[in-house]
Formats: sequence, structure tokens, C-alpha cells
Amino acid sequence: MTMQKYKLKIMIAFALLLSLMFFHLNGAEFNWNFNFETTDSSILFKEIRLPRTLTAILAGSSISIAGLLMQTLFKNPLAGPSILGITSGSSLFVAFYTMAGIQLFSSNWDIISAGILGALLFSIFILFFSKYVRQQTTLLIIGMMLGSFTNSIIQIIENQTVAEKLQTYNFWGFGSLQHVYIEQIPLILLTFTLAFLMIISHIKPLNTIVLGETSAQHLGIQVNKTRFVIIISTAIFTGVTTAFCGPISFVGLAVPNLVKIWFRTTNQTILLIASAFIGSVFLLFCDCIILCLEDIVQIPLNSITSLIGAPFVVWLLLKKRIHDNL
Amino acid sequence: MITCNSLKVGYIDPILQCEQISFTTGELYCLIGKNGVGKSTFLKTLMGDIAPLSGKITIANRPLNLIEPNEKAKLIAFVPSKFDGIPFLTSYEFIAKGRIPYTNFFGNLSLKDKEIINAAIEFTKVGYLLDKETTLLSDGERQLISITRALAQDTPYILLDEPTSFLDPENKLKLFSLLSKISKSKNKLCLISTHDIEFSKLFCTNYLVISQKNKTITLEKFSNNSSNLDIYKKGFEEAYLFLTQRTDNPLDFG
Repeated sequence: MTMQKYKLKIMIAFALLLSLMFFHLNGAEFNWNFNFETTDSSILFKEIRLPRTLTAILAGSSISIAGLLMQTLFKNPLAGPSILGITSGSSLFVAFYTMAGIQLFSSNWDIISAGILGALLFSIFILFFSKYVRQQTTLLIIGMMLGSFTNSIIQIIENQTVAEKLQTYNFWGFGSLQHVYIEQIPLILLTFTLAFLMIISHIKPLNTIVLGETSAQHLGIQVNKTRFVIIISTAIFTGVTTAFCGPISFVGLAVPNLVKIWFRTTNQTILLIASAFIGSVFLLFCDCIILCLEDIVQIPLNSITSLIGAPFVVWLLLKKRIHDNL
Repeated sequence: MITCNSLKVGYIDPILQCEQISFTTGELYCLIGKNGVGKSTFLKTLMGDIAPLSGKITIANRPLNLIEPNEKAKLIAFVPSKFDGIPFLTSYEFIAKGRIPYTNFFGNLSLKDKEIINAAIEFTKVGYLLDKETTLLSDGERQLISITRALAQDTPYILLDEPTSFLDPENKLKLFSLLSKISKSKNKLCLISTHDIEFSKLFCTNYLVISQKNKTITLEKFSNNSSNLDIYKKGFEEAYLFLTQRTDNPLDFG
């Protein structure tokens, strides 16, 4: 009975995703403007629009799922990859690579490896602190401290670097969906699938850890292993997305909460799928705004997500105060 | 049967010890002792959350530390002193989590699981709460569904850490009577740590008393008509002295 209700909502989310996908593919215009007879149009579609749309979908899903996982693990609706400082880890390592010229691997996957490595390292920091911290609020503050600490290091690097490199890093920091080549999409898809399969194969522990780690342990769940799997997959989701698209803020925090309020469930399978869909919809929507206003003003992706995300989080806090139900 | 043999309990230094105690199914046991004397630590040790500093615990003739987590979850259930509720989690979903140790890889409930859940719900009469979200329940209701979940877990042993602390007198009575019914009619072992001596006395005769002097757990039998003072004498010596002599005041009660 209730399952039917969830299925309907997921179908609505999917329909929303499909329609926004086509709208976005069409350059956020209502008239279908492709004529595949001409090579120019074909190239525009294949080289520019298709990768941008696919990136929006993959990045939106990844960041939202990462947010959901953090919120479930830490039993805190305000947890998310950017608040806990995991994104900062990516930023720091990308800064090392782009500006300080520290080569981690000698291949053209450097920026991506740097992003993932940074996210992984900072996830492990948070994991370490989470074992010694009693109150989850403290953990959020530690995450913010990690963020400002890395920001300072990045600023020092920025101060030493040449203008060109600084610009490369700054553009990355604005966040964007248009710097991914179509050849790179399979790699993102592969890592996404990998992390997603990791989580799906631990869906029972994930659904149990909703009760808290101690209760999960008393129900026979191997909590340490589950925590490890959650952290690793969050690092993959966040690291890959951040490496390719820059540190996208607020999506990981806002989308899972929106989904929880809409679905009113703790069933992680449903929340995972719904977060992926709504996350894609959210990022496509933000990018459509960017595309629509392109001729008037160039807006960085991060500005749009924050402009929508920040008021939402404030609203969430107020709602939490009133109902104490989040 | 749970057996403790020359046990020393604590985190770094031993705070509690006992020679040999055995608990049997079909009985209700109350664990009493002053605040901070180590009741929760003792229960955590029995759950296997922390290892004993020395000594041995056997559950159903198997050493506790050698039982796999999933197997252990089929033997012992735990009810914490307070469950705060989880946003958007309904009572039924919460109770159903008790079946986790028995479900398949994806955690899907089988027909048998659902039957056991329904039987537990019928036993504790919480049918009217099933669709409510756990955050919206009262403390008493949340404690009831916690116990229902422990029943759904279908274990021969249930440990409860001060389950009556946050309840009103009526709910305290109800809870003790329910637990006594569970231990008798379902042949389970219920071990409750509690400060509600006057309520527990009505349903329980087996007391695990932690003496504050020598930090030792002993098993005492009290008849149903023994007074509070008889029990205080064992576990709360200073209060006993104060209440009986009222002269030499050891704690400055007055």
C-alpha cells in the first residue's frame, strides 16, 4: 500500500528528470533546435550539449547520494560532503596539483586522482573524529574547521602562484558542468556505478544503521565494516564529482532533506533512488538557469546552487526548531 | 542460561566483580545498585559491547566472545533506557527491524518474519501505534515498542537498561508486569537494571545486588512481601542506615 505511494512519487521524479533532461539537451530552449543533417549541429550536440547534460545528471546524483549517506551514518540531517569538509579535501589536493605543481601520478588523470585522493583522506579524518566525538554537532563544527583550515592553506598557495594557474584553479572552484569531455563520461559512469553497487550491496546494514550504531551492532550488523563502506563510497561519489565539476555546494545537504520530507520514509533504497533523481533534477534546473541567462550574465554553478540551497537550509533549521522532527 | 565466572568488569580498571552467577530462562532478574556503580557497564559486558577485564561469560554453553555478531543477535536482545524516536520511521518499521538478524541479504521480510512481528505486536498490544512515526510517540509508548522489537528479535535473553526511568508510575507498573509475563509465558530471561525497587518487588524475586562496599555482584532472593528496607540493606547501605537509625548520618541527608 505505502510501497505503491513511493513508486508513484519515484515515477513523478523520473518524469521530471526526463523532461528537464530534454529541455537541458536542447540548450534550455523550448523549440527543438537540432538539425542533425548538418555536421555543425551534430558536433554541437555530441561534443557540448550531451556531455554537459550527462554530467549534470551524474554529478547531481553523486553529490545527493553522498549527502544522504553522510546524513544516515551520522544521524544528522545537516551532514553533507561539503559541511563535513570532504569537499575541502578535494579542493586542497586540486589546489596542490593545479597551482603548487605537485604531481601525484604522471598521467592525464591527475586532477581527478587528486580530487578523489583529497576526498578520501578528509573522509578518513572525519571518520577518525567521529569515533571520539559524542555530539554530532561537534562533528559538524570540526568539518567546518577542516574547511577553513584548508582554505587558509589554499590561500597561501594562491598567493605564491602565477596568475594563469590561479585562474585555472578559480574557474574550477566556481563549479561548472561544461568542462567534461564526452570521452570522460564513461569513467564517471564507471566510478558512479562502482560506488552505487558498493552501497546497494550493503543496503541491509545501511537500513539498520538508521537506528544508530549501537542498536545496529546489537542486531548483528558489523558496524565498523559498514561505516568503512559508507565513507569509501561517499569519498568516491564526492571526489569524482568535485574533481570534474568543482566543489558543488549545498546540493548534498539540501536534496536528501527535500527527498525525506517528500517521501516521509527512512527506507534507504527508496531514498537512494529518489535522491539520485531529485539531485539530477536540481542540478539540471540550476544549469538551465545558467543557460537561460547566459547572454545577459555569466553565473558560476556554485552561485546558483548556493542561492537556492542556502535559504533552503535556513528554512530547514527553522522547521526543525518548530517540529523537532528532522 | 547465562553464566558469569569470576568476572571483572570495567574499562581500564575493574569497577565490578562477581564470583559465579547463573541466570536461567523463564525468570525475571532485577539489577540494582547506586548510580555510577557500574550497572550499565555490566550490561554492556553481557552484550559483548565491551570485553570483560578477566573471567568468562558463557551464553547457552558457548563463550560469549566466540559467538558471531549475527548469531549473538539471535540470542540476546537489548532495550536501552531511552529511545528518542527516529524521524519518519513508523512504529511498525521500527519493530520490524528486530527481524534483521534473520532476514536475507537485502533485508526483506519473509512471511514467517511478518508472523513473528504480528505475534509480538499482539502480545504487547501496540497495534494502535503501528502507523505512527516514532518521534511522535510518548516515552511510555516508545518503551513499549522497544520491548516489542526485542520480542520480534525472538531471543531467549533480553537485557534492559533502566527501561522504567522515564515513565510515570502507571507505565512503570505496566512495564514490570509485561516483562514478568514475557519471562514466564515465553520462557525468556529478562534482566532489568532499575531504581524502581518498590515497583519491581511486585513482580520479581531475583535480585542482582551490587554492593557499594566491595563492588561485588551477588544474587539475592527476596520474597514478594519483603520490604524496601530489606533490599536497601544489601544495595544501598547508607540509605538503609539513615532510614533505620537516623542518628549517625553518613550522607548528611538531613
